[in-house]
Amino acid sequence: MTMPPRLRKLALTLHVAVSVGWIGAVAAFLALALTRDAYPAMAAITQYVIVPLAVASLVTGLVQAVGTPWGLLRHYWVVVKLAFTAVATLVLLVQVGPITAVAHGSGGQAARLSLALHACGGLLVLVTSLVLSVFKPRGRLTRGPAREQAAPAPLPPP
Amino acid sequence: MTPPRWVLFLGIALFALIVMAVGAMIVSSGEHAPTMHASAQGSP
Repeated sequence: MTMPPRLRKLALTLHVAVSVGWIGAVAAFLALALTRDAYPAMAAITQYVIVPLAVASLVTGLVQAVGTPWGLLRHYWVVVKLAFTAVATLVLLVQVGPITAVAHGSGGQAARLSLALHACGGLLVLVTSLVLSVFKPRGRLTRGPAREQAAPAPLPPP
Repeated sequence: MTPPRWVLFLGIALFALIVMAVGAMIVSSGEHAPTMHASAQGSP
């Protein structure tokens, strides 16, 4: 079920755009979290930018995996990236409530510190996913028709 | 098939991050802002 090359490039472009946008939005969130009196802006960024980008990143990533020879469960780096993205999205969705509460003036110092710490953790997870996407480290779960790891060609007989 | 070492490392790191995230959530949810009632009584 591989996509034709043009559609594949379009899907990859979309996936890269939303994923890198997600990193940038979380970085902006962290900057606002470290700046006092910016909590309403944090809630708006979360609701209208970070959550849609996170969901889009997860969906486009799944499309990329299923629609290309890489597959979803063939290579460790794809599986690890999926786990990182799923966990980051889940934690983000759980954090929407506390972020909204802080924006409305409730929640104390610990809640605000918690938001900054979550943003740091999120950035770490997202940048790790980015590194995995670029370096694509070796390791396969299953053998399949996907592209083989770059194995050295056997030497010709003497 | 044994997973590569980097997979184990990242798996442990992700698990540690999840534990820290849950811990931070529990700590911050236990904290409450001063209520109207407490403020009226002159609580700090």
